Amino acid sequence: MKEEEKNGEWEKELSEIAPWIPLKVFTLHSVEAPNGYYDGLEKALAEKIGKISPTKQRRKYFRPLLASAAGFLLIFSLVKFFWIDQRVVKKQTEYTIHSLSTEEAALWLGEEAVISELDIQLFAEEMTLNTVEIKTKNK
Amino acid sequence: MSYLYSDDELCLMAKDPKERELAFRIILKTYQERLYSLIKNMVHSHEDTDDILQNTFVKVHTNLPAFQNKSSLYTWIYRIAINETLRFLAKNKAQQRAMASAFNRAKVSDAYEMDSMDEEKTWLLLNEGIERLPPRQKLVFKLRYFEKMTYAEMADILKVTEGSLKASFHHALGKLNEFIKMKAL
Repeated sequence: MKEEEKNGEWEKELSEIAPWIPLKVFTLHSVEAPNGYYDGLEKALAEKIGKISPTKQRRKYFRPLLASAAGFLLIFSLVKFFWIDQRVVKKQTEYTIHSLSTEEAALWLGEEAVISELDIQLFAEEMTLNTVEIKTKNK
Repeated sequence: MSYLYSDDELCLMAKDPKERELAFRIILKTYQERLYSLIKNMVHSHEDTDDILQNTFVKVHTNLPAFQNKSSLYTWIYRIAINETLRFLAKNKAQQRAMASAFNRAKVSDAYEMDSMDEEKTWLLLNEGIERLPPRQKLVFKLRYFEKMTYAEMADILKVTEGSLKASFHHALGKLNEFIKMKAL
């Protein structure tokens, strides 16, 4: 809409619905800027915008990303430590050779595993089935 | 100056790092005076207007490359300026109230030329009445009356329907008329 059309429509509306209101708009305080203000504005803006360097801007956007990544890592390590690791330890404990007889151990380790009773005794106290399996296979 | 460039052209320039500063300067020159008077009309003090105007243009500069041209540049910039002003007003409610009443008490010494004493009185009362309006009606009244914005433009900027804007403006006019009548007695 052109300025003249806008003004015409504005005047028409006001004179119809509020004939008491002055159409010559005036405010108690000046809405004009002091002399030379706009030159100063351009300089002030150049300074302000210059301060927002690309590096700072990048940092501004990367900071939340880094914080999220750190948070995720922290939560992941906690979950890994308290849940996954504990479960693995528990599982391994269940399968310690300690609880197996010589025949059972031989069965568990499969036909390829050639182990002596002495070997089993050596490992029986501390080591898990997996450890025994690896050690015996290396033999 | 901006009449030489369309919104599309300015948007394209803003996306090119080499021409971004030129596009911004064109926008600054085009809108600085209009935005200054819009903001000053709402906050009254030059210092506050300056702060808000600077924040507005910094935001324009920062977000210009990402501007999608879905609304017009004028609408987009006005929306930023109005939001910045409203944020400032919400933060400084008490200070604004005190300033508004100080203005209303002040004598009209640095005012524009007036035709008669009646008009001067109407103006004083009208300005006092405007400051007493609820925030939403005050904003709509100022945009429609002082800025002469159309309802369509206001709806685009404020993201409300034209119908509700018309209603707000009519309510504001009704309240102002009553206020002036009551005070004039």
